[in-house]
Amino acid sequence: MPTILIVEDDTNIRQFVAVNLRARGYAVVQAGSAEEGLQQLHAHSPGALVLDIKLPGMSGWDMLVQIVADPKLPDLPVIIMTASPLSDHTGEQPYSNIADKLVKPVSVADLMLAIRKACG
Amino acid sequence: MLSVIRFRLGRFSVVISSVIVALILSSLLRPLFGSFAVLFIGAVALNVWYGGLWSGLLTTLLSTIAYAYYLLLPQPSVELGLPIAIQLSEFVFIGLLLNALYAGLDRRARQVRQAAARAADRVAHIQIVTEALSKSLTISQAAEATMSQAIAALGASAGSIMMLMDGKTTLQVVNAVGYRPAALAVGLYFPLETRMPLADAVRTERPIWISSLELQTTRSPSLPADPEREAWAAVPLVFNGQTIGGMEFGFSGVQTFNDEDKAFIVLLGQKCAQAIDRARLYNEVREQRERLQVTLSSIGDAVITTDMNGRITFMNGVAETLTGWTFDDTTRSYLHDVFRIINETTRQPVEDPVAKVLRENTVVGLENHPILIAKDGTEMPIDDSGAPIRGESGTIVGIILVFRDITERRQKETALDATFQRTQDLYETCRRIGLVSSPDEVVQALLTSRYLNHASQCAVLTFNSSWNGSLPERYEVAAAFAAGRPLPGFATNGSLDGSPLGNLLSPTTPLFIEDTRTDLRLDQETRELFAPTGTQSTMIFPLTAGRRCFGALLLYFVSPQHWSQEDYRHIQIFVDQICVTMDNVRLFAAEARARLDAEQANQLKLKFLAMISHELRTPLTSIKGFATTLLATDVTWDAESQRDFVAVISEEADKLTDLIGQLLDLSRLQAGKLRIEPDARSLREIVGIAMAELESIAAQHRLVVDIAPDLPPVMVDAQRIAQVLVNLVGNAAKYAPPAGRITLSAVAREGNLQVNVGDEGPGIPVENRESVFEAFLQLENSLPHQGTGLGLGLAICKGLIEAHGGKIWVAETTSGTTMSFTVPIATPL
Repeated sequence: MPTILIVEDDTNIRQFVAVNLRARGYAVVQAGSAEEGLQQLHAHSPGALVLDIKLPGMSGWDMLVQIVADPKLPDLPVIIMTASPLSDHTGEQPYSNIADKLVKPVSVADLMLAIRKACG
Repeated sequence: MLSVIRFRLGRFSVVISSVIVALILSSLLRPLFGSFAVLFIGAVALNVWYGGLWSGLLTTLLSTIAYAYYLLLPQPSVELGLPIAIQLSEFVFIGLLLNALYAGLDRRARQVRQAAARAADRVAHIQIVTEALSKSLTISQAAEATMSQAIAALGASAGSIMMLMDGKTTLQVVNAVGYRPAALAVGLYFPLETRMPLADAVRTERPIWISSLELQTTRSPSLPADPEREAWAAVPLVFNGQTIGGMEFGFSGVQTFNDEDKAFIVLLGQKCAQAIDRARLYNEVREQRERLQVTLSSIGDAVITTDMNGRITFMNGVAETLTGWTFDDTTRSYLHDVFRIINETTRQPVEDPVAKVLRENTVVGLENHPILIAKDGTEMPIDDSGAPIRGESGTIVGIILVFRDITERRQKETALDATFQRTQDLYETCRRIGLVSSPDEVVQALLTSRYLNHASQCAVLTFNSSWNGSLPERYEVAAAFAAGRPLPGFATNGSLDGSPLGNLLSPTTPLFIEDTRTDLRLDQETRELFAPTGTQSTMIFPLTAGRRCFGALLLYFVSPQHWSQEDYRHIQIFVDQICVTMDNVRLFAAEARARLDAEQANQLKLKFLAMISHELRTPLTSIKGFATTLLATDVTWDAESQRDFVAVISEEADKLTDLIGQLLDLSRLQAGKLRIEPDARSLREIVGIAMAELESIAAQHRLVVDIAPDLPPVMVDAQRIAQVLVNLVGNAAKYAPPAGRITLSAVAREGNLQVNVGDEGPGIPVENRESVFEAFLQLENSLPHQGTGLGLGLAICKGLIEAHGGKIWVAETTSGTTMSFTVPIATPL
């Protein structure tokens, strides 16, 4: 089972995702900000990324730009999970491998469906 | 008398001597021839011839006596018998016969002489009449001349002349002599049908001769019987085959009108008719001429006529007035002496009108508006034309010149031209002013006016407030022409009260100073303000919009100006246009600003909504997530995990509740509907209310409460101020580093209590210190976004403090952040 990186500033939400993934056999790596997430990417090479957009400091979108720009980082599948569907990034998609886009609040079923889709 | 006596004595002596001679000769010749009576017969014949009838008869008597004596004396024997008586009878008979013969001859000769004298007399009368008629200029004069001579020549006792009038149906008396005035007088009218000799003669067109009363059958019965006249003669007056009237004469005695009389009367009639016709013609010509003169004198234009040589033959009153010469002055003088005209621009004499008309030989307009120089030297522009005057044969006999004074028209034209220029300037300048969009352009547009383009300086001042009643505090030069030079009386901006010209300004009335050196409204100090720029004249107009004076227009000139009322009005219209334009510019700017504000507010609202959505979804995500986690059937959670999950759900539900409460508070504050129930409370008391919560918030920090116990109580809603304190301390805790100090202090100041909440955090950038209190703006700013919450706290604090009549702000500190607010100190009852 692949390792999943969770980038989310709200600890309770992060916990919700992590608990559910672990319970279903995934290894989970967590980050509270985009900067931290990038470090975790380099450290753990996860198989998929669950990414919040509105983050303190660097936003989720900027993190994706960094991933694309960094040749050392693989083009891993990403599940966007955002509470701001209206302020969504509408311009040119900086990242092609977006597996799914979840709008908060998210049920366990939705989350797992997206994870399974992303991990093939 | 002596000659008559001498003649008679002469005749008598001839009678005596001839009888004596006959007696002597008879005595001498008797012996030879016997009785010689023939000698006495000769004596009788001689005396009849020489002395006339009476001499003849006397000679006859004397001869008879002498013959008888001669017969008797030599023959005393001879008896006086029948033979002697027969002889004597023969003798007397021959004498008487001679006398009778002579008397007959003599009377005949006398008749011939009388007729000749009468004919001569009439010829004389005709000559007199002819001469008088030739001098007669009117019909009545002609009639008068005819009648006076005719009456005398004919021995008539009355006479009249009447003219046919009104289409030859009426006769009018033009002369009457010898009638009773009631019967027939000058001026009376008679129908042509009237029964009287004159009317009969006119009707029949033939002379009427009535020799005696018995024959006076044609006398009109309508006229009173005229017992004074026995005979009448009447003739029609005919000229050129046309009967024009009639003439009649009345005679007191019976008349035998012989051919001479008739011829005389008819001739008189002809002469009279000729004279009357001539008089009529003359009158017509004279009337025409008079009419022409009256017409020429009455028309409004000046008229001068000249002969071919340019000598003036007529000028009317207008010509006399304009030239200053009277016709009497100019008799026989030349046109160019009286009608002196020069070219308006070159002032050179223009071509003589006479020469020009004669050359052109038609109606000509003379030089375009020459100047006429009158007798007294005054000049006036005139409009004139000349034309030839033609005689009957079409040849030119003179010229006529018609002209008029066009001074008034010229003045009107000039005024009209000026008005047109003004209107054009007004239109063009106003249009330019109306199209501009800034004070600078207003000044530029204004100075394009030909009435203002010589201004040395021009500026638009705007006031910081409307001038209604009290003088605005400050002015600012919004635009200026020749901006580099100092503006006399004003700086770039300043206090209006301190301005030297300020006390002369009015919010309603313009200020005009035509000469700054002499204007009495200026004191010496003010006058000197104008000196450096050489300003000698200035205009200051208040600029108003909707009765609100918002500024002033200044115009300076380097030479003294003399403005007419028209100039003032003209420039005032520009000023009105400037007011409208500047007000429009202001309104446009205000509208643009308002629109921008509204757009920004709208954007902020959209972002706010998105943010609220985000903030609401975040706790909801945990709630939904853990709820579905618990509900999931594919995983079985141990009891501890389940408990943790439910705790998270509960925690997040509290956050949601809190959030919704904040939103409600903010919404009420913004709507002004948050209820504040103030009463006098001490700050310590309020801090006490909040203390439990404060300690919880600042659990990881050092909370220092430094509030003096003697501070006066404040008039506040304690719960709300406690909420403010919790918010502020919460913020401090959020941003300050862990274990950092959070200080809560207070000080009384100017009727308020100032409360400060300080922390040792990173501080707030200066530019954000005001906007942190704006609910929307704060969201826009990228303050470190930690933990949960909308960050609406400060906006709510601001609303609450302001609702208490206080202020809240970020104090100016060098390190950390200090939030300060004031609340009113409760006034003692």
